[in-house]
Amino acid sequence: MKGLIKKQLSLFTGIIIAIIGLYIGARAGFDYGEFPLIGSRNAVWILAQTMLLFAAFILAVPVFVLIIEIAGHIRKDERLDRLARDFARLLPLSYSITAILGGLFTLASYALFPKFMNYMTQNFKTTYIWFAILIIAETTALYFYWTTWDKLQGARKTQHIALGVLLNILGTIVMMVGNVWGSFHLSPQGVDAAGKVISLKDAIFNLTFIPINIHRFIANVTFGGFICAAYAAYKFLQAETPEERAHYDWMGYTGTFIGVVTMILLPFAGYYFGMEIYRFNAQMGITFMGGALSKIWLLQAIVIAVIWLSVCYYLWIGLRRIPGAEKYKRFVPYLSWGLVITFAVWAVPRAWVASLEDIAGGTHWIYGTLGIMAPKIAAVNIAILGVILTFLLNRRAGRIIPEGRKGFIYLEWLVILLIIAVNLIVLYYSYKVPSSTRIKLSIYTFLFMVPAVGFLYLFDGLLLKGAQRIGEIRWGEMPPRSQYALIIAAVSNVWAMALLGYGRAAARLNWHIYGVLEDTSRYAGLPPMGQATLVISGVTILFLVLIGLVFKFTGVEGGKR
Amino acid sequence: MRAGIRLIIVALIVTGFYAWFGNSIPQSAWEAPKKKVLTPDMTPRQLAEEGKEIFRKAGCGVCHSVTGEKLRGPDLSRIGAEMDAETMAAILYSGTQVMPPANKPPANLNDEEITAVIAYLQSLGGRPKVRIGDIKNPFEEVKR
Repeated sequence: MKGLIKKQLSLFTGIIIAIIGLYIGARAGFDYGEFPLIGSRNAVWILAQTMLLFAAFILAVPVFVLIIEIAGHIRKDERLDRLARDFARLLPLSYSITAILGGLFTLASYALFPKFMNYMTQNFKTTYIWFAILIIAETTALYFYWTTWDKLQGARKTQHIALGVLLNILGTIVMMVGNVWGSFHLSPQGVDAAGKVISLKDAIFNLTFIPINIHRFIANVTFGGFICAAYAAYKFLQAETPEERAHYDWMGYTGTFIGVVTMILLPFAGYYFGMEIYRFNAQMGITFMGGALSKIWLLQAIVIAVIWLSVCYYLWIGLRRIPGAEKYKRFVPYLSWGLVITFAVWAVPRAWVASLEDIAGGTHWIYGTLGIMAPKIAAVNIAILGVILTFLLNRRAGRIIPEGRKGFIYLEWLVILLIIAVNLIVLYYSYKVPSSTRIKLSIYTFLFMVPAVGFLYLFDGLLLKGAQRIGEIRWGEMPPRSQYALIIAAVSNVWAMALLGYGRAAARLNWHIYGVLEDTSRYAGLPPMGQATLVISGVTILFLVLIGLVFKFTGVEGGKR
Repeated sequence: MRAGIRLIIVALIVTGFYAWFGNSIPQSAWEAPKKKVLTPDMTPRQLAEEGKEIFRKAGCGVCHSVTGEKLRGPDLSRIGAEMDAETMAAILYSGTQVMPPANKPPANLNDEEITAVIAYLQSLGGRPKVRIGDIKNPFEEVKR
């Protein structure tokens, strides 16, 4: 029990700091406070985003730690158990940092924006209480999950897995409670004409609540995968023995695999989120996609392109550690050019302006043709196909396909060509229909893409059934540059998370709560994109410094063991 | 060089590149729209002038052309000759499936500003007639 209390000291410190914030906010007597040098908005922005990045990490890692642990238990593979434990090692210190950051964020929000935050306290008190109870329960579950890892082995492994399930359930509910507030700010419902919440149920289940939950859950797992891959890369570069290098190479590959597989789902979750934004307020959707915030998508396209190209580069280099993979290298130039072209289409903005009114009267034909959603959806889908093919090449490389199964290769080619053809046909059709129909087409494309990708995996699985390996994968035989590719992917992922966090908040323009509580501070409005990117880069570096400390101290702890 | 330092350098180069790119594209801040002072003594023509500015600032032109060009929404170049002020007010206050009401965010116009926009719309293919006080919200404010 003493150990539990000691481990939870940082959580209680965070809660106490948050309560001090609530107290200061309630007695503020003014609407907006000032913060020296960087200003109130930047202070709260930096704390909120850094806290959210850590929150994403601590919610994501238990998800795949549990999956790997279950896989290890079913296969009776101790290597998988060790891998899961290595990932879980990063959690305790990360939880402590998140708790302190959460407390500081709450304090800053209440002290600097008391009008807005007091509104939230008055209307969401119940959810605040539940949130505090849930995070105490979650950290308790983590404590027992982590400290009982060695004790609950063998026949008692299922008890440990049950603890992991509990930890994940609690973590997901904590995330959902946080999303109640964030989604309400964006698309408030259940309020009267004076702005008071009259139905907490409607306020909670507002239009963007479910899509934000789905999008954030997937994005968190992606993020966690890439950060763990970066940790593995860091350890790989420091490794002194071939065994260590092999372990961390495998760990990096697993983290990358988790990151990319879940990242492929993100655009689809994003379409759903976008649809609900349009449903709530079409003009907010237009502001988000084509107006004041359109340049966010240009930046996002570049960042995602860097992530996917880094990952594919890592995987293409990885072919060299697979005996018999040489013949698949000939596909690499086509895949790389395909990715570059599709990302170039994605990066074309709707308008090269900063505000809605500036695009009145139309735009340049290139922006008008490639800047709209339809070509971006087609480009993203084809880029997704490129990344999937890279993974499939890695899987197939070095295997001898049984003679009777080669027919599945033609079926796979058929699916690949069908994906490209359907996307191009839908794209052509999209230019001929009104925008409301065009938005619906993205759903049909999504409904087509998911089973198509499923069939691709199915046919590949059937193709490789019974296939023999030419030789064992030579884990650890990777050049250092491959690990830097993983670091670049992870840093870019942090930057992308911070960018899109800004984008979601910026969609509210000059409203704390859209249409309900107006921002009347001197910070109402949006900064120029360049200024925003400086803050985003600052947040990224701050997060990397803190997670670097987690890596360092976790490494020391691991070394002692 | 130690691995840690090399990683820091890589991280700084990557974030630095994104920050550089973010600063190299056209820049301008978005400011909250300032409310216009519109008084009952203004003539319909003066109101139409103000309405033109509000139309532009509120972002109506993103979807609606006033020159006959085809954009997302209906072209408004002849709207003054085709629609009366009451119908315009009904559409502006209620919105449509894809157009949010003009008195709600992000436009968030008050009754006077909506009157000015109607005066401007009347001037497109017609003659502005409305004055401040002529147009009221035809729908009651009910639960959101």
